[in-house]
Amino acid sequence: MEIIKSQRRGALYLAVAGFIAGVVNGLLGAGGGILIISALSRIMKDELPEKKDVFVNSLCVMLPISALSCFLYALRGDLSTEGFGIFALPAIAGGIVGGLLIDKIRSGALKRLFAALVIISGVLLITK
Amino acid sequence: MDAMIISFLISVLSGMGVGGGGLFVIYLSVFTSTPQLAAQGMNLLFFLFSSFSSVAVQLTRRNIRFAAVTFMAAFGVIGALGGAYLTRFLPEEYLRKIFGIMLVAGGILAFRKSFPKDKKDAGDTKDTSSFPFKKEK
Repeated sequence: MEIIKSQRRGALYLAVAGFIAGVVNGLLGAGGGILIISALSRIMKDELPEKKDVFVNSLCVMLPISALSCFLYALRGDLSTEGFGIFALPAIAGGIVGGLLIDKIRSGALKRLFAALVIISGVLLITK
Repeated sequence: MDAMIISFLISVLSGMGVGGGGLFVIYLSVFTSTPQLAAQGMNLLFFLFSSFSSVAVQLTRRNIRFAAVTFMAAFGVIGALGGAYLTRFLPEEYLRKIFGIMLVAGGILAFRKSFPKDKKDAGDTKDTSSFPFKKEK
């Protein structure tokens, strides 16, 4: 009984995290992934003990969500593909390299650098 | 050329699961003066390219739990419908500030998570997971 209760709580946690990530992604066109990572790390710590697996599962969750958000933006006319061509190939190549590097790099320092960059960028946007 | 290098580097970070989507929006809105909503739209497309290629190379090499992924994504798409609808009512200036707040909050969270946790639970093999879609053994 306790197990079923715990699993129900786990399912609810995953559902709520998925929903909020979706709202954030639809509203801001980015983000949400960190919520998925946090939920998967907490609820599936035995099934996904490796952080790298959590990251890949998070990408898999965010792909269909972002695809729908992208479609909705396009439908409303907020998606301009003009000039995107220059970003498309590097995006694909970078994704492949990132996918291969995930096994190779101990990314603590990289994550701290990224976090600092993100915080500075956030402050820039708020004060712009 | 700069644009290609920057998008490649952001995409590497994104493909590693470190994050990066937010940085592309910053690049577009600060360096190319793209309006916030258009930058967000383009960022979504950018993420599709970078994350799809990353997932493609990792699909067979990593442990992907399709039941959990489908379950979360199902609730996520409902949320995305709501979120995208909300953008109709919020001026771009507000969106930019909300985006900035999200970045700062996400950055602080990522910074905290970048440090290894205490290993006080090491050796505890008890099943502590409350994951509802367990595989049959």
